[in-house]
Amino acid sequence: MSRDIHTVEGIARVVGVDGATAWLEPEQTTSCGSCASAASCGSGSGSGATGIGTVANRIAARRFALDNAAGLAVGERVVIGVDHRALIKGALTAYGLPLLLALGAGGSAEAAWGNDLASMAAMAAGLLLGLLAARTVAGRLGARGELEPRFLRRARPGETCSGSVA
Amino acid sequence: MKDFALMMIGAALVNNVILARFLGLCSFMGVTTRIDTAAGMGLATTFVITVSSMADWAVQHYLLDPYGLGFLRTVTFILVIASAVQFTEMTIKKVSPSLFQMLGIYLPLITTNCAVLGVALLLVEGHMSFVGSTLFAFASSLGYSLVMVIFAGLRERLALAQVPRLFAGPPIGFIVASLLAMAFMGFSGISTG
Amino acid sequence: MSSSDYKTIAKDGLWDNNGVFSMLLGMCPAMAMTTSATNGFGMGLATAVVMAASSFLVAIFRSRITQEVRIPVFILIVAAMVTVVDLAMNAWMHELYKVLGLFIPLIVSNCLPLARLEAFAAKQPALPSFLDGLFMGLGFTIALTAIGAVREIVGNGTLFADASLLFGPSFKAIELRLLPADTGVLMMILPPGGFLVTGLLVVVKRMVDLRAGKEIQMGGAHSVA
Repeated sequence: MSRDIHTVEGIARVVGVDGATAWLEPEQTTSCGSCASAASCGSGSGSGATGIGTVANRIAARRFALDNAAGLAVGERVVIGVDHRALIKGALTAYGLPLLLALGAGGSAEAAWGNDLASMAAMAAGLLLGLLAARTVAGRLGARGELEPRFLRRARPGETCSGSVA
Repeated sequence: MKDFALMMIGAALVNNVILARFLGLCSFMGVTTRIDTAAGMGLATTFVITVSSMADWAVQHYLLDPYGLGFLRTVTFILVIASAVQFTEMTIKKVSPSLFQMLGIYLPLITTNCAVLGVALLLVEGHMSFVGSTLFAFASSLGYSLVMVIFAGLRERLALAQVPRLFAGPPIGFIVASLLAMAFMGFSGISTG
Repeated sequence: MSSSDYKTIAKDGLWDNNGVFSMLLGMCPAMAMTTSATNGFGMGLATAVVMAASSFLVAIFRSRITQEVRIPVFILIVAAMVTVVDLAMNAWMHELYKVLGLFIPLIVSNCLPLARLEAFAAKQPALPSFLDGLFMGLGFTIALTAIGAVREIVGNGTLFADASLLFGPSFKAIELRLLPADTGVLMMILPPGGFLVTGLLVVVKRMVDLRAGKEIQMGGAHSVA
């Protein structure tokens, strides 16, 4: 399979169509591939029972809308893509920025007072500040349209999120 | 300061979470063949490990230790980590719904994997200060991310190789990981973290 | 349940669906705690006890556990069983407890127990569930002992060294020295050996399955491009 190296691909299933908008749920593995016994990669979310802590439940929380120019129907699987730099930028904004501010604040507090409670408060404050900063940066990224998933094509039957089955 | 730096190098490279301590292997073997996704996944895991180790430190020192509840550690830590994962998802969603949506499509779900719990339990044995243990957790998870990215890069190449059918998939992955672990053993002279 | 069903459960757990070699679950202890056959055996038994006990408990209470909260309940039951095993080993098998250390509490985050609870114990009566947990755990034990044995023989030239120290004096008889001292390949005991031996043993299992005319399992959800 030839892959466009600048686009990160993901697979999503259409769960609803509402006029010109299609609602999709991402299809994916957990960080521990096979633990997702109920809704593991490519097996479809219809078979999994829902409940607190199940993968199906958490994937339902990630439902998103897509402009339905391609005339998708419910149950179809599509490949969506995003620029690889946008993914890294997004992850750095969401996770890296708050973490660095929290560690910086905590480290400075430790150097200044050397008290566990003070460091803890500083780290929490840094985390909060970092999340606020992330909000601003994410707003800027969003305004430039970098976060929008793009519709690439309809998925082939054997294609799963860990790459197409050879 | 120098102590912290040595401790962090030890945690990230010498006693690497994946290659020396064997924690988080299922995510290591099962997740990705793309460097970009591995890096994003590594960042997310770093965030979860660091935040949950902060919470675990507080629980250990202000709840379990004073009341002699050490035997409840496993149960409590599991709950704390599950909450930290939920907290992370909810916070990112609040911070920016579109960012949450994009990361949610392309990054695998983070679960309570053994790397998260393992680092938290290592910290209890370490008896460090709050900042010390948070930095240890951060450095450990940076080491985890580093190995994830390196391995994803190796597997991008492996996907193009002709592997015998019996070795295809996980076995060849293990053998490549074995070579990578050998390479990482070269760091073992740096520090005795 | 007829006896042939029980036979299927046993065969599934020990070989066909072996947790380590077929499903590739629980890889962390399978590599970290297999520097010797004795360690692997001890780790496997601890996991087997947790799996059998938690499968039994989940099967008993399965009608009371609602769909909505079942995953948290399963995790808490496993965590409780792990705590019991942790404390019991600390009290009665202290030497082994010191060796296994971190990896006893980490049984909680091992995918294998939870996967079996979800797939089997949540739907079946108590006795088959207990047996399923037990045989899955024993399959895990066999896998860990095998990995540990290969690493120990190649790396150190011994088999089941220190068994008497860890399990009690009556195990003195199984301590073997197969190769003369100082001929081992130390690398096998170190982390790279863990990855290498596990990878090769997965291949061996595939070869045996292929000879027997079975489909080889390519690693389920882990199938790597």
